[in-house]
Amino acid sequence: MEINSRAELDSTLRRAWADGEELRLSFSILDFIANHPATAHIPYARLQQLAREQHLTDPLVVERVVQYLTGAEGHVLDLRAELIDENDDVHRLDEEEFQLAVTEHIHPLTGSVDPGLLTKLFVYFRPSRLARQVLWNSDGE
Amino acid sequence: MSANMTPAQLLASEPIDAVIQVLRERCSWPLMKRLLASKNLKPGGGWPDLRARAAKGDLDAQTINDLARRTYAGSILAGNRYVRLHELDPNVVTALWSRISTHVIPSSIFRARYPLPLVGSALDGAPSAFTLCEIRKTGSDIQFVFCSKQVIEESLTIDATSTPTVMSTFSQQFGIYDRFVAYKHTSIQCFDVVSLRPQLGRLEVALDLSKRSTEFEGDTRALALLFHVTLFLPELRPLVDAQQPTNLFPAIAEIYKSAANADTNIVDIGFRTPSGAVNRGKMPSTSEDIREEPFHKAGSERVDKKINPHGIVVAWAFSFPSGGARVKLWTSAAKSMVPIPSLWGLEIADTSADSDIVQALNKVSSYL
Repeated sequence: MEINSRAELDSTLRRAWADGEELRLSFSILDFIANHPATAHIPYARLQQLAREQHLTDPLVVERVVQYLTGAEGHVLDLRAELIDENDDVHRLDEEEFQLAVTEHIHPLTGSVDPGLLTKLFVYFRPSRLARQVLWNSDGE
Repeated sequence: MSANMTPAQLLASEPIDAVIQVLRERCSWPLMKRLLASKNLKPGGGWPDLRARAAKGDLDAQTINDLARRTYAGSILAGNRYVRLHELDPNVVTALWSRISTHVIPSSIFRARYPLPLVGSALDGAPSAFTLCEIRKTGSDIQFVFCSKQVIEESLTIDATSTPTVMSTFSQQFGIYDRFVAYKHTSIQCFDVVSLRPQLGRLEVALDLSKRSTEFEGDTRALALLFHVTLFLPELRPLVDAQQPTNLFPAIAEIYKSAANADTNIVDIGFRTPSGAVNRGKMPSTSEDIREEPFHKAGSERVDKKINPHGIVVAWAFSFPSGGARVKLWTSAAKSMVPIPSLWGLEIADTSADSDIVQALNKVSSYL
């Protein structure tokens, strides 16, 4: 079903979560995105903080909500990755670089195999195209 | 050079596997990916995959072969450099050329393999003094390429729990430690370049930064190289006697204040605010400009953009000839506090041809 508004997005989430803690967290995430235009970097810790602000007790709630919001049906969040090295230098990975890093441990900056690469990779989230359109009324990338 | 072979012939005859092996020492993987994309080739799985594809014998392999050899040849003058600029009287160059054109480059251990680097024991035993290997004239520009052996220190940190056998032997004599750090000295070959560009009124000393020694002192080494050049070109001696090259510090603020455009991205900046705070802003991608980043933009506009930058890294894309460069002009907050701050050199990275160097330096010069 195509989603064209916040109301339709909310309905989709209600169908998925009924009235559980997942729904409260999902709405909290949507509100956060809607209230912070131009947000492009949401670390996992931010989502956990939103859960704490909702006094949510189940520690796996964030995990379940992230899985849903990055999935096909309620795609509000894009999963992204960045490399942070020992000097705290940050390099954003594109899809291809991320795949090569995870599957073959190819370092995106050296082009060589790095056995310790996974310890330098960190995931974060950014609002999906759907979220940007529905919550910010934006078509831009 | 091998007998009767020009540098181009030597490079063309070298097996592609060996060419890619030396290329990866002089060309970053992000740059190589961009060059592959310019030929409509996928990046694939890094350098090991590129070597495999180059050996396949199909049309793509031929394209990779040509690209790798051409990129390596370009890296002799380009790549990653520490550059200092001097003003140059064009008339001096005109008078020099008749003498330079007949200058016989002495044979040396470097020339036997030039433009490829020495390896193994040959490199270990090579001289660390600047050794002239090529004089190149392109239009009115004259470039001197010097090779030398430098030694870098590489370290490896090893967690003791990952090497229980070694730890057991070590602890018997020295006690229990959590971590080992192993050091080794590795020889590298540097290709340093001095360029005379009379039409631009500019002399460039461009030191090779493909691998950098921890002892690297760019200003001292650049001065030493320029002095070495004056041994056979005494007409350039006044540049050495003047000691100071072009002061690049004013370009930092001017680049920051310039209008944002699609070909320019400031990716890193160090600055002080009007209230004295010392700040640093860095983008995680060279395709984004810190000046457009919401947090930085809000702060900058709050103080009417009256920040005092002391360091900047800017990524430029060039249209004609197409190319790019990442330029770092950086000094410390402390050195920016003197009445007339100075910056005598800059770093250029991710260039694949001399034209990238020229265009990048032209950009910087335009902000002075």
